[in-house]
Amino acid sequence: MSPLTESTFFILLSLVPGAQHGYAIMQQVAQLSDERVTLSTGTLYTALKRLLDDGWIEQVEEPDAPRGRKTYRLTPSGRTAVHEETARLVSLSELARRRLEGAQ
Amino acid sequence: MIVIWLYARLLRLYPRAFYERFGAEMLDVFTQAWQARGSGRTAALHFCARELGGLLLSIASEHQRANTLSGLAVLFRRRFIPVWLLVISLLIGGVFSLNYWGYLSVPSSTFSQVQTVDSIVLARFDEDYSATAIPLTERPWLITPGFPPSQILSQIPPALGIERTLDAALTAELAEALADADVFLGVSYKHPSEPVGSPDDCGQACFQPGVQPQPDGSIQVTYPRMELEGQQPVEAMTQWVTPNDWWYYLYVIPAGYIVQGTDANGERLVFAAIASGAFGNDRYRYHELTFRREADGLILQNRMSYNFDISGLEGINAAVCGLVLFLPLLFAWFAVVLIGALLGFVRRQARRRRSLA
Repeated sequence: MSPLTESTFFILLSLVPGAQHGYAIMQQVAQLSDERVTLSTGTLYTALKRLLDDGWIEQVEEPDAPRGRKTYRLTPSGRTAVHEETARLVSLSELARRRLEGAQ
Repeated sequence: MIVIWLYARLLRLYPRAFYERFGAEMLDVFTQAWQARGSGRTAALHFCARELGGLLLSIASEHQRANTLSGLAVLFRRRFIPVWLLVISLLIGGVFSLNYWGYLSVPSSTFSQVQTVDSIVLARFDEDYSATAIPLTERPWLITPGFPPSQILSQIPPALGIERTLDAALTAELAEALADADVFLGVSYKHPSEPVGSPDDCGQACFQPGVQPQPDGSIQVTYPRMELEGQQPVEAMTQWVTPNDWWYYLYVIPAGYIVQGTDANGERLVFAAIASGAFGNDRYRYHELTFRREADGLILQNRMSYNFDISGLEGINAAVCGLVLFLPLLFAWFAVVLIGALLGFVRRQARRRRSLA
């Protein structure tokens, strides 16, 4: 699996606790990244479409949702992708930490 | 709302399948984000720039993936030309609205440290740092969007009225604290201009604007009167501004809010927001100082100061400028379409005549 972009990683992370609709995902991403990553609506939906096509997220039908509002949730393969990316980041930071400590 | 209308039109630039699947949902998300964007022109400008940039990149990327049209070609479909003319007109209008661009550099207010507000006073400040409560609070400048003191007022609980008097002990403490903080309090131009020589040999320097407080409390303001053509200063104009005139405080005399309250830990705070060194809305210094109240006086806890000077850059409103530009462009586009249709008609007629012959 190739490394995820920061936006994609934050979108997937925002869906870890449960299903969210588009605007809630935007807010979660801003909150998780301390306002460093602020997605535009266009960027968000380009990413969501890609994630849907890859089967990492799926649409959930909510009968009471206002018109046009849809909810997304992680699929098992999406959850695996988050775990794998997290493991990759942890191993990278561990490698960097060992290298820096060795240099001192 | 024109922004939402425009966004809805731009969404149609996506490949049809993408638009049908996500269009309504994207418009819903955009509308929610627009409503939650925060107040002020700066917030609106940042929001629109981010959304427009993201949208155009996303449209190009989706067309590339869908292999429908090359990413850029779709943006110039004939039926979307009026939308682009409007976007371009508003962008050009924005560039010419230089007086608003200066506000982009205004740092965020530090007033959020004050968690609870006990009292708020609008006061004028003299050069010896003494503050005097201003009894009249109906000042247009106080509610002008983008003018920093207006940000303070919007965060005050509506039920809390602006007090008309200032405690003498607080005045003395604050004067000492402001002096220690070396806050600049004054007007931009202290002295009325004295014409020197003739306009021909000294140019604008003859009539530099000047402000001189008068014994009766009014202010003598002097500025050059320009000739209509060539903008050469021809004589000094003098005007007297009294405390009842709407532009007396903040506009010329340093003034602002003194707020007493507490921070998140319940510590007593005194917050001062002062606009000084002003001569109009395009030139002023602005200070926000937060003092912690201790047994031995006010201790400076936080300070934010900046100089705001966009004098000479004033333009016209973006929307007006944009529409003034857009309407002739739209008519020109309709004329091109009409001429194209007429030429097509004439060509078809000629072809038909040839085939009949």
